[in-house]
Amino acid sequence: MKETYLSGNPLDLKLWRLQRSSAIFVIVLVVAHLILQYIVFNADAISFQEVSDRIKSGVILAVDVVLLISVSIHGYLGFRSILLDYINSSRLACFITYTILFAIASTILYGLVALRAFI
Amino acid sequence: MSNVESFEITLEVSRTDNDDLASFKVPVPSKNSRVLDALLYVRHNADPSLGFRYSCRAGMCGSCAVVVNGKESLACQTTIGSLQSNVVRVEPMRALPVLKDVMCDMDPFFKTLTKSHAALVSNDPDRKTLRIMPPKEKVRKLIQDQSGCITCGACFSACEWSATKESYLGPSAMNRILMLALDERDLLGKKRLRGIATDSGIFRCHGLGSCSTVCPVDIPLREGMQKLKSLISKGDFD
Repeated sequence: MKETYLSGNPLDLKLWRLQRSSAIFVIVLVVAHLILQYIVFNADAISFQEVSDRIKSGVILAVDVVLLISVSIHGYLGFRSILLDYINSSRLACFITYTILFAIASTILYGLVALRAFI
Repeated sequence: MSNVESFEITLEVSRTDNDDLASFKVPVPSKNSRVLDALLYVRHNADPSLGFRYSCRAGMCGSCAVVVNGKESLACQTTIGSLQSNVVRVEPMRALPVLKDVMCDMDPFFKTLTKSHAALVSNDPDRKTLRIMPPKEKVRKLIQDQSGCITCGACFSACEWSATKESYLGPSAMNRILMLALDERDLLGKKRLRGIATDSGIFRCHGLGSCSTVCPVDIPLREGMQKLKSLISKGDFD
């Protein structure tokens, strides 16, 4: 019998894994962020100065940066997944995938630039 | 024998020559009478042109799959009593082109099975017959749960994505791939998993479980999909 099987798509697989793994980071880091924000720093009102003081700590900055990256990846890939549910054209699906990847990169870059203002 | 259970139902059937459902009064001798009996009554006594498909009448061939009161079912296995309603609505399966009345063209569904290439390739070409797995063998138990598909297409019809996503393989084809991935006698085994690790494959399944709900032979399709995702996430393709 001819040994035939479907070939698959490595990019689809990578993005699927990325979305699943980013979910773990999001869950852990959102909890960490809330604990740092409301228990460790006991922040009542968010102000530029308060955020600036907090972000001077390397740990806090690292948590915020990784959270920014994780949320951007997870959110945008989730949005991509919803869009692909309703799209039958493989060309349009490809266009959406690369647009989403560009949006992820842009959002992370914009977030990093915004964070830099506090440092 | 007295006929104390006898009652009458209104059978509403979808017709291709009319946008409205055709309504028929059907005498039912017992609550254990099947929806197929009611359809046959209509064909014999009211409208010989009523289009529906059936064959074995024992729930083995899957050819009488229709949507009964909104749920995919085998007409030959669904008792009128189980519906708990005197109005029985019979419609064709979803996601498949209607040939006539409640009879569908099964080609799109069968094509998913063909496209999946989910046919066993023996890893021992010298053997003329496959090794028989004893019932107590661990792999046999794993496969046993997923086996027994009668290719009725009910899962394909109930699946939210089969209708909207033309390239989607659907639950039945992917369940077949899972069985082969678990079967040690298959040469390709887990290599097949790479083929469904796509947006038209297992990633389109959101685990809603409609396929499991309607499967007339109770194959745990949703659990099978989760198992596939688990195997794929481990990257065990060889």
